[in-house]
Amino acid sequence: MMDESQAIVFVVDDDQSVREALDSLFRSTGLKVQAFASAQEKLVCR
Amino acid sequence: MKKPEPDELKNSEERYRALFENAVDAIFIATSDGFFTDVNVSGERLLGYEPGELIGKGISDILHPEDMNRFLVVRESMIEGNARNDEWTLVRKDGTFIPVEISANMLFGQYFQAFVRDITERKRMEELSKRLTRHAALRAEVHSAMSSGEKSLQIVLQSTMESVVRNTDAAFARIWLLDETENVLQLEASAGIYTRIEGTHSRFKVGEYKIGEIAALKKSLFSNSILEIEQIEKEWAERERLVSFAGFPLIVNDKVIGVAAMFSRSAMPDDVLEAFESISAVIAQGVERKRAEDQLLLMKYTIDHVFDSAAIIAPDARFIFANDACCKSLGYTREELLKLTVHDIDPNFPVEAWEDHYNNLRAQKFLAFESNHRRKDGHVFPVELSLNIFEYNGQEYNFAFGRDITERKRSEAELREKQELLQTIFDNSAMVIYVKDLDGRALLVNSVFEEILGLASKDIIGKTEMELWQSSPTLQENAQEVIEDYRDLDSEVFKTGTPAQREESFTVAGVERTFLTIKCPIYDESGAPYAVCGISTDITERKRAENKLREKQLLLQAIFDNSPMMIYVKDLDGRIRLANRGFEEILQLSEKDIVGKTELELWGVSAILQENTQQSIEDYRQFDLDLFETGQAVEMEETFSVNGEERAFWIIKCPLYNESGEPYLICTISTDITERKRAEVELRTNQQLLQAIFDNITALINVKDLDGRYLIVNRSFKNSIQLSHEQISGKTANEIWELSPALSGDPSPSLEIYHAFDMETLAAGKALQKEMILPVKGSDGVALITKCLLYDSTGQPTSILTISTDITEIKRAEKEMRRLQTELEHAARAMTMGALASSIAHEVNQPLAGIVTNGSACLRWLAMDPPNLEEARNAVNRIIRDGNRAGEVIARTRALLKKTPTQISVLDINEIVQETITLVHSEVQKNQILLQTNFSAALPKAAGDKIQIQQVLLNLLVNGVEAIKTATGGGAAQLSVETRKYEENNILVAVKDSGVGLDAGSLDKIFEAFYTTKEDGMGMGLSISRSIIEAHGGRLWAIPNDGKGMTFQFTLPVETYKE
Repeated sequence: MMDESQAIVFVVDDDQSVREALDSLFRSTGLKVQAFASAQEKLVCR
Repeated sequence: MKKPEPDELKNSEERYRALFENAVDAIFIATSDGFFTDVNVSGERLLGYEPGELIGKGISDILHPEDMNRFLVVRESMIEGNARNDEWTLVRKDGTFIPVEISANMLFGQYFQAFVRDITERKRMEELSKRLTRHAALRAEVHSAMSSGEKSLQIVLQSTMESVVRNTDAAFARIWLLDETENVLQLEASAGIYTRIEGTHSRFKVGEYKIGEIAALKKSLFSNSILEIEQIEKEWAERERLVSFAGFPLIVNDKVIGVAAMFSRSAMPDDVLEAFESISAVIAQGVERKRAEDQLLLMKYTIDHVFDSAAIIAPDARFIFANDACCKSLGYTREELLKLTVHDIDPNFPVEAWEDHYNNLRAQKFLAFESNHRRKDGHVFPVELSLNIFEYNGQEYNFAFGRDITERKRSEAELREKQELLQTIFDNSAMVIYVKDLDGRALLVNSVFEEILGLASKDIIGKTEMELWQSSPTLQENAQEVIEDYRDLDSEVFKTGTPAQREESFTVAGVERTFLTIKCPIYDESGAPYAVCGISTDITERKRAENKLREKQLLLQAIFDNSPMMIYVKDLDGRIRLANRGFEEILQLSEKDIVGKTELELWGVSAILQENTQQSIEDYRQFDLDLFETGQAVEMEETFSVNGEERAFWIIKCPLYNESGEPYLICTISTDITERKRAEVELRTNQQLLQAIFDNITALINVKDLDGRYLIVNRSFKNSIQLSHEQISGKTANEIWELSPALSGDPSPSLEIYHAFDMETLAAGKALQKEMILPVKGSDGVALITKCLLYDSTGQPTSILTISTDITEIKRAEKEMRRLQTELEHAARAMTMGALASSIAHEVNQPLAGIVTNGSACLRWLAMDPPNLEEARNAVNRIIRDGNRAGEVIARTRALLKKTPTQISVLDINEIVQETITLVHSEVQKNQILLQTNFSAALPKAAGDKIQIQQVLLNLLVNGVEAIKTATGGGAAQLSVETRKYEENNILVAVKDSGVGLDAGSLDKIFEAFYTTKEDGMGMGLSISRSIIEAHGGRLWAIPNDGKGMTFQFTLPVETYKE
């Protein structure tokens, strides 16, 4: 089991509304979140 | 050879030396190369050298340079052993030349020995002798020339001067002879280097220059140093290398008659002067003799050749001398006449009258009178005689001059007759005749002149024109001007000496009259003009008649020449006497082929006439003869075939009458009326057509004059206002309103509009169209009213034509059409939206999903301890944003689905394109299509209906997506939208897809209604899109891409209205 404090949630959604809402929701549970508009963007960022 | 003893040798040497030194001859000894070794005293003296001075000098020092070449030849000859004896010229020490004779030989084969003798004297004698011989020849030639009788003096003198030049060393020689009347010496002969006798020195006044001085002083002048003579041009003399001059006066009987002179380039010895002097004397005598001879000859010639008779009569009346004219006039030979007396030839002087006459003559010395002479043949003729007495050698002679005056007598008689005749004419002529002197004073006028001026002869003669003009009661015009004009003409006549003719007009007693005036100069006996004669004929009437006739003639000629009618004139024999161009052209013959020909002959040459063989010439002829019979003009219409075409002619034939009132010519005037007839028929047809239209058309038509009164109306018009033609005609619109049961209400608003429209049409000068409400009772109809002007032939508007068409129904139909169009557009839009329903739902769904999630997150942020208000606020903000976003999508969709009437507003095309793209966004994403936009930043605004433009865009985007979906095979799925400025005033929107594309056949049809390439398409989208764009003033079209797919693009006009 991963240390929860170490876990990062990647949110990938091309719709800004959904993306930002999910980002906020996950963060409210204490998770670390990184949001991307597309998988491609995610890969480029890494 | 025996060798001489020394003593003997010495003696010999001394002897030789003595001989050498004392010899009279000069002896020169020189070496073979020409240097002197020994010269004796005579030699040194001869050449003017000191003793011994010549030793060592060369031959070349003493020999004349011109002799050097000869010397070299002679030297050769001597070296060959020849002894020589030649003449040479030597140069003395002082530079003078000396002629010598030299005998020379070689001495011991190495020396020249020369014996030199001075031959100066011999030479001089030789030359003198030569000169004397030439002088003798000169004298002989001059004598011979001067005594030659036939040649002219000048030729003779010239030959003498040529003799002088030939026989002396003169460079030139001249003779001047004295012209006593002017006291001038005139050059008569010149020989040698100057031969012209007209040059600058051809005339000298006596006493002027040397030549004149010689004549004036009667003294000869001589100099061998010409440069020292005064008045001789030094430069000239030097240039001509002249050295000496000799001039002698030519004297006869102690009188100078001329000067002879010679110029020479060498000194003149005395003998030359003597010779020249002696020939000068001979020439002087010769000139005098020649002149006397010439004069005598001339006298004799004159006497013999005068026309007048000349005779010398002895005191006893015998003829002593008679000239040729005398013999001829009396008809005798000279021999016969010299045996006769005056009594024999002059009946007025018989023997018994002679003594008295002769005494009278002797007393008077001179007599002149008229008498009669009798010729040998007995004919007596009048003569004019002049006699005088002269004495010669103590003998008295009567010199008589006689002239035959038969001709003069006759011409005197003729002159008298003529003068009487002229006087009669002068007195009785109807012409105005006057003679003026050079100052314009009247010398002579006739009675007509007096009449015209209204003055009596005594008040005219001696008066100037100005005086006459001012005193005349009949002449009132501007005298100054007229008279100046007269004077100009007079001086012109005097100047040219020829008569002048002109027409002149002026007012006499208040009546304008024209005169033909001839002016001629009159000369006195010396040939000088002293008067001008004017003869004026009153041509007022003639002129007027002439002018009228000429005008008429010109007019008729112009008509005849330019008339398109065919005009020809025939005589009684049927011959063409005159034909105009129209006639020539129709016959295709030239004037010369027509005039003088009979009709029969014309028929033979004219192709046109041959076409009409059914017209018999006999009939024509008979027709003409009948015409002569009746004398009445005839008009008729006839048809002829011209180049195979039937043509109608209107023909007028009329007889022309001669002075005695008989018809002698027939004039035929034919007019081709084919076109006119055709036009008439056409016009009639047209008129019928128009009448039918006018009567049956449902439009209301009326024609009003410019005052607004109805002139013509058609049936529909009458019916619509329920009035008859009679009720309408001549009425104004106001009056009709009153009468018509169909019209109601207050007329003024309608009539004002109509009147304004009339005025507008008049001002515009062209047809105008307007839609207006029909004023007919019970109608809410609309009429399309067209008004235009009708013009008269001068282009002035005369009336206004009004055509009203009831377009109520059309209007209604249009409205319905528009409604249906809107319905259709809406339906199409709804369909498109239907196709997009899931996409649109997705567009709404997304923000909704976001709202829900944000809500959850917000609650969680708030539930934290402490609550994270910042995050909660952010979540709520997003909820609001997403809510708005969903609302917008719904609003747009609703707008597109709403059925709204067209609403025009200013559009930002980029914004509209962006909004529309939002609606298809999910559809594009769903199909994994890459959408690119390329918007021009500086795009102008357009005007139009936003919903309609969006509908077109939506249609094109959906089509694009579907085309891409349908496409098979690889390649990127791309949809791009571009906006940009297009051409000058348009905006272009292009939608480019990478879809399936269209085949060429479909490309033509895709914009047609109900044409579709899609399985579930209705075929209305593009058709409606195109009609929308075209209604906006734009264009919609499709072009295949270079690669895959199509580009659909449309334009919209730029909105020019500026906010």
